[in-house]
Amino acid sequence: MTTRLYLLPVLHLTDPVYNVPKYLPHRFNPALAGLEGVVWAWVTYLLEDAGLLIADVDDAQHTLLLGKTDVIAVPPLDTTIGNATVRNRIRNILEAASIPADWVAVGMTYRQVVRTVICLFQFHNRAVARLLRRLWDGTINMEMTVSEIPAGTRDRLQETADELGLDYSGVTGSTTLRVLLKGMADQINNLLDPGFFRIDGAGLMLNL
Amino acid sequence: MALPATETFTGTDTTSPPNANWTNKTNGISIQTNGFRGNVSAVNGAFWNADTFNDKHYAKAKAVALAAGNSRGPAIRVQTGAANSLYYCLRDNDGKTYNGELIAGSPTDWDAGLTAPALGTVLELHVDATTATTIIYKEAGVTKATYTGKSALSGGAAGVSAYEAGTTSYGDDWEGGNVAVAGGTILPQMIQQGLYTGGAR
Repeated sequence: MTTRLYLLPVLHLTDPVYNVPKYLPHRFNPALAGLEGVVWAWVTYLLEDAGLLIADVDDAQHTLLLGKTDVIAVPPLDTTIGNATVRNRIRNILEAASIPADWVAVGMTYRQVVRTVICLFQFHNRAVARLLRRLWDGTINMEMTVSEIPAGTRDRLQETADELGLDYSGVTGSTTLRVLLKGMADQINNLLDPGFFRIDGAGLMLNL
Repeated sequence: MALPATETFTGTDTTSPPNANWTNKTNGISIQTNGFRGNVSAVNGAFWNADTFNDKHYAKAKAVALAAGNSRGPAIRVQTGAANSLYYCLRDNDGKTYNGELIAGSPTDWDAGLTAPALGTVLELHVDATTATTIIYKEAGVTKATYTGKSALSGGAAGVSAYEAGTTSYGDDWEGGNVAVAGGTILPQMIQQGLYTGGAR
């Protein structure tokens, strides 16, 4: 068994209301055949459709997940993104989940990418907990500028930055949400103790 | 009142919230068999309102009796304003304990669940003394899991959580308090009152 890292979809169950990882076992959602009993832990892009999940899987189970087009098995973390084709695939997958990704570049390690994504999650998740709803709710998207979003959303984003001790002074009315989130994530990335970069739970742990 | 606070939920079944020291959140809780249960078939919660908690606080509770589909346990970071948001610890009848977050009424477990201890074991969630985004889960005082990067919620209060409203399922013996933070200010009166003994362990 090996602890592996995946980016995979989140299912939003409605009866009962619960957010669960697609394919993995959950008490309210059966596992994909072959993945029963797999132990996992994750961090999610709160209320959105993606999560970074670690799972203790054998080779057959890993192959099962690899076969799913909506699951990304993250390569060994110190591997570098070797060419534009791979870079573009990563960008497309992240962007499809409303995770800003135009910053992903050839030569970056997967560790750098995952750390930045985790930091994006941190800012986003605190903001969502203040908004009490999804950020990307269909009326707001990453290309919108700060001046184009409702005042309440704008205020919650600034409050989130203030609460986390982040410098918001560079954000103006013409800043896109894509740039805003990445800027806040970069600040978090620089502030955090390396020990923060970890996914853990259920007896599993992966240092990022 | 002074922290840590304790509660034994003594009273008449169905009383909700259990008494004036509790505020229902996200569906709320009721007294059941001199313990507590949820009010509806979903995640339920309530917080202790008689004290103000630090950002770094903890909650302990026992799951005493459980029927199928029911779970009971402590909760932390219960938001005291409009939000139906909290971090929950649900000891389920299926033999696992599920820790996770309820944000705006939408629950997400943080992992696949941990093998649960015997009914009656003290379950505890607490904020790490150093890192406010690290949440620690203990059973009978022993750390069983650490959850890093749980940044969605801050502040809030200690409380309880429950899944389902089964009347044969209840939790009990709650305690909530602040996490001792190393390096804090030592006031003269703390020494006079025996609250600080010079760091002896």
